[in-house]
Amino acid sequence: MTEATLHKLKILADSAKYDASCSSSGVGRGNAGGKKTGQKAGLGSTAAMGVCHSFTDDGRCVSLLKVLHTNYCKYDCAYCINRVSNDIPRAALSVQELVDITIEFYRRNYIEGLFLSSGVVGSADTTMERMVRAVRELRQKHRFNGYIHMKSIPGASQELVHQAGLYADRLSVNIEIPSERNLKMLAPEKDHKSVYLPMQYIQQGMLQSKDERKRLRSAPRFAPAGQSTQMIVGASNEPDHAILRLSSMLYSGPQLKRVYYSAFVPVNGHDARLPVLQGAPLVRENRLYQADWLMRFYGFGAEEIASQEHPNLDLEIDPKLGWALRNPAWFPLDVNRADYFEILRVPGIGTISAQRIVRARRAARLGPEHLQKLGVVMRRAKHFLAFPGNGAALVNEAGPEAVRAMLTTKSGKKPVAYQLSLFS
Amino acid sequence: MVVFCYDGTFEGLLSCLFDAYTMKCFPAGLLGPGDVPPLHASQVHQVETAEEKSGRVLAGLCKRLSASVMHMLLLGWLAEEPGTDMTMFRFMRKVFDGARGQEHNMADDDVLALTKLARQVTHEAHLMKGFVRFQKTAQGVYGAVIGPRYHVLPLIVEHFVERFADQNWLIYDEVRGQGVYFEDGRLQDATLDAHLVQEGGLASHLLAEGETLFEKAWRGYCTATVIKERLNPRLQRRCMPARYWRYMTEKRFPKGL
Ligand code: SF4
Repeated sequence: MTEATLHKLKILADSAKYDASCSSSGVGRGNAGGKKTGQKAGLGSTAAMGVCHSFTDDGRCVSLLKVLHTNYCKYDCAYCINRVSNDIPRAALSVQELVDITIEFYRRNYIEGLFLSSGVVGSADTTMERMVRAVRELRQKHRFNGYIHMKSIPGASQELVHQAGLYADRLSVNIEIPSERNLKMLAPEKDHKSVYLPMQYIQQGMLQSKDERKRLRSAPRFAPAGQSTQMIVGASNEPDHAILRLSSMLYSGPQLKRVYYSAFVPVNGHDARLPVLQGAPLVRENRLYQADWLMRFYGFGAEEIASQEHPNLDLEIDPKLGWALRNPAWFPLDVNRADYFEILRVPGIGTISAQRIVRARRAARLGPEHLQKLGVVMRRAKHFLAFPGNGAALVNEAGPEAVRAMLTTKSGKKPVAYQLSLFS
Repeated sequence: MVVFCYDGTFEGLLSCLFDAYTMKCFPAGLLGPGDVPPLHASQVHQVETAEEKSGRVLAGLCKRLSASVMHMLLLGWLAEEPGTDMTMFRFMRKVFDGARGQEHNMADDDVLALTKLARQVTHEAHLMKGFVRFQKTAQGVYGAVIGPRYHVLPLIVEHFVERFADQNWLIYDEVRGQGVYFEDGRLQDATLDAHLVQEGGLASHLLAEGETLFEKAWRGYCTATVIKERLNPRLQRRCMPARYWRYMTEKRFPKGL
């Protein structure tokens, strides 16, 4: 490590930070060495749960060393800090520097692994080729078992994507702009094909490896932690309805593990193609994460959360409460009889308390005093639950407006702007 | 009112249970070493820790409880919170005397308290897997100083053995004065003399050449990744409580830096 490398690292970390994904979860990998294999111990392991190593001053989890190979880029995407028309400090790390920094940081337990992305220099393939070389060196020469997340460069060949998948735990291609029309306007060199094609390559690689491993256990794994993508929120005019519909479509395939939402931060000067925002839409981003959560773990469909009639999420209340208030006739619910997924739909009850309810009600009939102990937020839930002597205003009797007023004004607090901790 | 005096170990606590059942006398309180009996204690029974007592109680627990509940007991014990021994004592009594499945009855205050505590200990152990920071010494050993709230070191050792199998490392809990040293694939208990520890890290004269440059690089990285439009120090503190900062490279700034 030299001062010069350090300086480059700062530039390339600064340029990489707008990618929201950081997760290191989804795959467990032991250290290949030791008694079992008779090999010399390699470096590192990957924990299936994912580990946060630090939290930045903006409260985001730092798990992976997130850097660009280079922030030179020949493209000119309107929303991106690294676009060619920007006058910013540029740098590139050599394969050797990248490998060294990753290993030294890892050995000190600063990081869980590497997240490698890059601006496009030369052709997509030359860029991708250099990235692949770095991760190959980490895995093969240094027997590095930490987590590796690699970005696939738009336009890279199937062959290179395939190689990347052999070394990386997760591959990602960012959609960035939900509709193709807007993507073409903001990123003239890109279209949806340049995004969906590499996604398909990744999918094919994963399916193929799965197939081969059925026959031969030692066949190589391909991106075992699956793929993820990101959409920028607020750089273009798609409503939440369109964003969530796209996410739900992506989740319907088995390989896409996560969709990240990144509130648009206007990093470049005035541009007539981009909206003028009063700060980054952080609350909206948070609501989208909550909605995403509802689709993945609560059994909600995208149309239930946002639809043609309600195209955008309510910023003042969370999307589950929003759904409950639009469906008063569905309530009140009796937690002693309802099934797990019905219980999950009650505002104030999360997955953990719903599981506890299902377990605890076998022993005894549950009343409000039990629910409190099981972690239910009764201040919210009481408007939606049926139990003897419930004196609270029920949503089906008092009406959604009244309940909404009670739940939004009582605490006197503004909605929490960004609760990343809920979703990481 | 009867109180039991014991040596403050887990085996000692199990021995308390054994004595209580043989004497058919259940204490209203437990005293560890150095605790002063309350004035209104009419009788103080001195419990002798013995393997044959604790072993039988443990066997009885194992027969009645699942592995995960046994693990919860261990976690509760590692919390080292004052009063937890009595909570665990009552909990174990319920396991022996009560109906099957008592250990899952969250409406019971002791079950609830232990479950909560175990969750906190697990949570801190998980955090520590990320927050431990090693510094390389001139001898090539990677050393880390930690100061967790609970005694989580035994819970995280396995993780680091797996992860850093090819390097020699040491993790030292400066609050409890206990540590582990991993050398050439072998693990042993270790401590660090006070003069080798400095402001939540290793004393600067121990560090390898160039170590401060790596630390500087990591600090520089952490600063560079902040998006200033999203600054949220409250969220940062919630996720990474300030009590750990003293030990974390990106947050500690020892003198002479
Ligand atoms: S191709 Fe990627 S790095 Fe280059 S300007 Fe577009 S978004 Fe930025």
